[in-house]
Amino acid sequence: MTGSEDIKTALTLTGVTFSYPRANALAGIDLTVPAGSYCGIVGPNGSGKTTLAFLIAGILRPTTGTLDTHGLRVGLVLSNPANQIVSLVVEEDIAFGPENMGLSGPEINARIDGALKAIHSEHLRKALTSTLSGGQLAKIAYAGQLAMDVDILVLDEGTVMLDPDSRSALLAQIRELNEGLNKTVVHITHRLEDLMASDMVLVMEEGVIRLTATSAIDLADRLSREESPGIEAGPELRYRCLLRALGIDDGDLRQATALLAEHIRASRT
Amino acid sequence: MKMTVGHYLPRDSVVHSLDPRVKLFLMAAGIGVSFNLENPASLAVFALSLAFLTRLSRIPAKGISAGLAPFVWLFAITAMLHVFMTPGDPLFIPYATRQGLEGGLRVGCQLVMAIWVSTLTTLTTTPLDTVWALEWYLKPLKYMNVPTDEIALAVMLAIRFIPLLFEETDRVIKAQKARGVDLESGGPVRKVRALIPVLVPLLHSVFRRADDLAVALTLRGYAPGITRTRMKAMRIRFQDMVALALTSAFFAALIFVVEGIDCQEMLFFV
Repeated sequence: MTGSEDIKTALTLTGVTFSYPRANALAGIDLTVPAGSYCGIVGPNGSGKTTLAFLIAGILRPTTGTLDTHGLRVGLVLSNPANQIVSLVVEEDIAFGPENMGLSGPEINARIDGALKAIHSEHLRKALTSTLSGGQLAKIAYAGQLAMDVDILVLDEGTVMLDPDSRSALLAQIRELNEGLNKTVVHITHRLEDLMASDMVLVMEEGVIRLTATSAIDLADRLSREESPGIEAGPELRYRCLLRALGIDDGDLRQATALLAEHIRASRT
Repeated sequence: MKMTVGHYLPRDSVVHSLDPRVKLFLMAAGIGVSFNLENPASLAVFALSLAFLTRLSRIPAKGISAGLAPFVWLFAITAMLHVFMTPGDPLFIPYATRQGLEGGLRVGCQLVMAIWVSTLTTLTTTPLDTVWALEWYLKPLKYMNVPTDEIALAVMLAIRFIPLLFEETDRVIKAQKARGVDLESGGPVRKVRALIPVLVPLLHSVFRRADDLAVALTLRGYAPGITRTRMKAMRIRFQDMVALALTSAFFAALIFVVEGIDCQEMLFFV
């Protein structure tokens, strides 16, 4: 961690607005993200999610308002990982960031080892990036950020180009990074189901935070009662909402389904 | 079209482990030597030595042939030009001469050798290593305010993204064909106009990729003019010195002994 160890807040945004030459993207964002938390952001296209990601990563600067990362290093992974890979060999690509930081050769090698270990891809170290699948490329994009020892990882639709298996594997690893390595995660997505591990979920609309929920299920539950364009709760979340509405614990879905069957049988008799 | 340029093949070989500066120097020298070989015997010896180096670097023959394949038309046209344009003893084909046939075969072989040398270098050297070596050779230009670091990075990114652009072009062509765009029929003007529906989305995609890449470079801490370190230290080792000495001696023997070129002629060529 680049800041002091007792940091409790990773990110503070106060009245942040941002305007492009012909459009206002953000119209006043107030947000506090605790260190080590998993913050999900959903919203329809054009709601300002990517602009917010770029502001947090320091690519853009707020037009008004303040944004404080408390001295923490921020990494960003974009929706198409192939466009973020700069070299033809995995280890060289991961080394690119640490080399820019002016680290020594042994330190860079240690960073590469650590980053590949964190994403369980040590075997890919010498592989050619042109031979990797979309899921593997996404992992290497994450490794490139981890090698720079980022404290806050911002994912802007970071799983959008992956097949279901690769997506769930990557989501599990992002959870591991959040829980095991205490990285703060800001995950921007269209799919609410990707945010099952979130500690907080925000809904953005027209450049402002419209709704704040404590979890993806909480938000899905609220969305089932009110319409919100551009946000898809997905079948799993809707099912979990139903289970909770019936007072069934959804921790273990198999067990919960058996309880639901029992519940239906009982209601028939 | 598939290009082998930039297609590094990772192998655990002595050729792979050589210093990229040495390999780049030997590649330049090898290309120079290949264009100076006139004698069939020296061409054969040079080809044998390249075959030995290919074997030593554990590169499969198809790796080399993939590198040569895109240039077959170049070999063919060059050889044909020689066959029909060189004056001399006529052959059974009209305008073809015996001297032209010999010259065509010789130049064709020289081209094959030159491309073999460069393919072997790119297959055994990572693009980043190549760029570092290039940057090292360009260092003197720094004193003339030439942005050598930026040039080196641009070369590396070009190597990385050129194959992607080929793929993207292929995708756009297929997508437009699926929409009924006719790219094949008609005269040259019509064909050029038919390319517009390919070029517009292609340019759009290129700019989007470039934008993403610029963001990615910034996120990875890159800024023009920064001092970068290196994962692998570039150091000339004993094996590099041996490779340099042996290969230089071999080239000198081919040029001065087998070919019989004198130093003055060589200096003139250089």
